[in-house]
Amino acid sequence: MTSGVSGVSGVAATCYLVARSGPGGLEPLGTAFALGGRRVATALHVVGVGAQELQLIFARGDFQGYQDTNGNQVNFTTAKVVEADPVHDLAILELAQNVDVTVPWTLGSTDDVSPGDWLVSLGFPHTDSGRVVLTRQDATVGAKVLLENQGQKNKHIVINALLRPGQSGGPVMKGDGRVVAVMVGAYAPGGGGFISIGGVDPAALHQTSHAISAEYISEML
Amino acid sequence: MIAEFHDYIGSRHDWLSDLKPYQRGLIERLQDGRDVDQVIEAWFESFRGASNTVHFGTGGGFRPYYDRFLHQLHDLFCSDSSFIEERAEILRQVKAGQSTFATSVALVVAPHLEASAPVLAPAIALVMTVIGKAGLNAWCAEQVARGRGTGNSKPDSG
Repeated sequence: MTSGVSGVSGVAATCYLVARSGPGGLEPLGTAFALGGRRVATALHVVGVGAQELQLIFARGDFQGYQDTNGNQVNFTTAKVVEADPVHDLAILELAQNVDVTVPWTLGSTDDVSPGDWLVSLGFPHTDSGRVVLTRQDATVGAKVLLENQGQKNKHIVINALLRPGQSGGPVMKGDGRVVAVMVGAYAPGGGGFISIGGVDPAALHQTSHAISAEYISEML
Repeated sequence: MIAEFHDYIGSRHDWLSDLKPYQRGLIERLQDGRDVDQVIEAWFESFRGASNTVHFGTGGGFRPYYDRFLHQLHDLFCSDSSFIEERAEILRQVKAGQSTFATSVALVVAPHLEASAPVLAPAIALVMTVIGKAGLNAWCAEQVARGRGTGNSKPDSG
């Protein structure tokens, strides 16, 4: 499978919904994007620490066309975790089949953006409701921040976009198609609340979204 | 066979060299201000993610593996009735240059922890560092004293 197009469209052709097999069928976990060859990147918390075989689901139809929201049929391929970085919440998956995925973009860094810059993110929101729709969101960089994990201060950007479950692991790109960050979550003091109303954690409302610098992926390759 | 396995462990010193460069870098940064046991704990704690952040994945999740992890390593390294074939295969792979010790051990214990091997390899290299300092017999005895493992570790006669 090759992208065959440039910029965002090229990335959209290589952006997947990560899922695992469960008693009710495929259980959606989040978003992943191709790195080239058999390698795919996502957030580590999307796949978790478990060793289960993962499925990468393709968007239904051409991203520039209409994606069918009905039906239970999806096209997917299998993958497994081959690199894990819990400090930066990143993981690299390897496709089981020998497909040659060509991507027209490069990995960048949050160093490449400034507050106010326009960014494009891709992901599969509302997957917790069974929705499989690859969705583009345009937003600006709200701020550049250092977030701590076990004493390590890691580069993130705050994005002025409201994210939904399923979008973690998705690429965040500049207009030139350079992936500068990976979506990981939202700001929630204390790491989130302990109640859920209608499947939503109130602590995550009125949120600003966080994405970690893609440079940490480059270090894993 | 376990004696040969123990001999190999006793012959090594630089266990972090089993790790890939990015893994070594992660561990080395975690070592700042921490002893080895604290680094192992920090490695597992790091799975909770960045501070003040709620994740937008829909599954995955994190479970503390520390005690179960050490339990499995005790049975692999110290119990002469467990993991017999696996120890032989680990030595074969390492001596053939097919895999590093930490990676081979991770592939053996990961299924028992329902974890993926890449998640465990750095922690295993750190445990080997602890064993290198304390000695395998002392490490085995300590795990039993802490209630880990099957408790039937056999002292290495040399």
